[in-house]
Amino acid sequence: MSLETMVSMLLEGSLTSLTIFALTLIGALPLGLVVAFGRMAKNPLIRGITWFYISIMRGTPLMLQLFVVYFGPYYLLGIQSSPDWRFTAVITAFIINYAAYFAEIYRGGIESIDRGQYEAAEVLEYSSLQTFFLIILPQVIKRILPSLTNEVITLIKDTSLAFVISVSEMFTVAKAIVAAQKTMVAFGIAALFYYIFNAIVSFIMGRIERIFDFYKED
Amino acid sequence: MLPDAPCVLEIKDAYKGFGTVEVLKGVSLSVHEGEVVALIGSSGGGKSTLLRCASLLERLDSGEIYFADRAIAKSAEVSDFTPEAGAANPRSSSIYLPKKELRSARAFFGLVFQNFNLFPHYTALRNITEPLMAVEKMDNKAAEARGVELLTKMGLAEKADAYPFQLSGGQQQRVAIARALAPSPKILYFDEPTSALDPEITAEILKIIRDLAAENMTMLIVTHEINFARNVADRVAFMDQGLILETGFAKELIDNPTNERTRAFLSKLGDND
Repeated sequence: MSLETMVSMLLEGSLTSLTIFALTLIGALPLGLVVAFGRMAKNPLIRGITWFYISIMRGTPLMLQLFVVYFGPYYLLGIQSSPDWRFTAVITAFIINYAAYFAEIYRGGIESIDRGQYEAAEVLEYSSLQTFFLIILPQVIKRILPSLTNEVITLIKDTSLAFVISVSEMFTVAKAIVAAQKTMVAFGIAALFYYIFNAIVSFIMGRIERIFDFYKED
Repeated sequence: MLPDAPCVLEIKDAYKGFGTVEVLKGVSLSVHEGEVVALIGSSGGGKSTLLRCASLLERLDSGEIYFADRAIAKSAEVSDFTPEAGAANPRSSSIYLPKKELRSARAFFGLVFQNFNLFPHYTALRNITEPLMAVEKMDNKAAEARGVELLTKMGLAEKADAYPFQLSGGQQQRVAIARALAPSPKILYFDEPTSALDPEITAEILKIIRDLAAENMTMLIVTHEINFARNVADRVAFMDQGLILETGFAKELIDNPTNERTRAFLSKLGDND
């Protein structure tokens, strides 16, 4: 197999990796916020359930979660899964796993905001929604960006786990090439792709952090 | 002070406890239109709690609050309500307005915090204009005009585009005063407005409060600045251990306190003044 063919096959796989990455962020970033609210809810039942959910997501391997989501409907509910289910299962597992991590980051950020900010908003007649979205959240984002960057970088590498249920993302493709061609070159190229992708993401996150540099906390 | 001026703020028989600690033990206070009332007393005496209850940041356990003629919190009859029962607070016998009305009732007052509590992600000007636009639904231009007017009044016109972190403590507090004044409240509350400031900056804030007093702004000020209270306030209320022990015309009370604890408190301060 020529190097060119290898690269183009891997590139094709990398598109799937990218899709997993993007869909996970699109789903998990907002879901994480909802989960964070559940974790901070006044109702002890909601708080308990959310705590349990987060502890399961963070306490068990993502690989195992992928299997459970993929095989669960068949073994637990007897539902014959459609061919599309493979990819949907990957996205679902990634979103619910990452939402748990994001939730804890959001919670830390939200709880770090001074009570005076809420009180100032309250006496200025802001509603709870206005207070959260106009006053609290912008400050939270600034504070949690470094932690978010960490998770986002981990996510890029975690997309390779999709190979365990044979979704043909980049790592799955690389592994197949290595097995068939008896050469490690495909791994090397995949590693380079992951590295470049990570460098780009780090750069973008750095840019976003710099956007939030327009103010400082004293 | 005009003795016949209508009441702007009236608090009747206020009780407030946190857990088993009773902080307000039956406090009544009224502030009349155009009047400046200073709340003085030692720390932990309940001054700030009283102001926070008047700001609706805390709810009274029992007692009543009136903003002008409007009842904000009313006492409901509670059969087993016995204030003498020591630590047992007369819980939940104040009935407040429904949430929505309570929110709009906040337009009645402005509050200046000890720690300014400016929004760090907004410029000085936006700290003033944003609430006007978000809450009062004022249009962009009108809000900006109001913001610039108030910043100019505070001597901060050239700092309109500065973020709070770029301002000194005194400047931040002046922006906070402008922000509190922006929706034209009927009464302005100050919660130890100079306690977080360096002594040399304190004077600039006190001067602004004095200017507001000259414009007949009604104000309720929690302060440790006794000389300031003496010179600027019309009346002074001395609080200790959850009660207002003495209230009177500022100069009379501070120069000739009748209550023993007021006297002890003032003489202690006199030592370091």
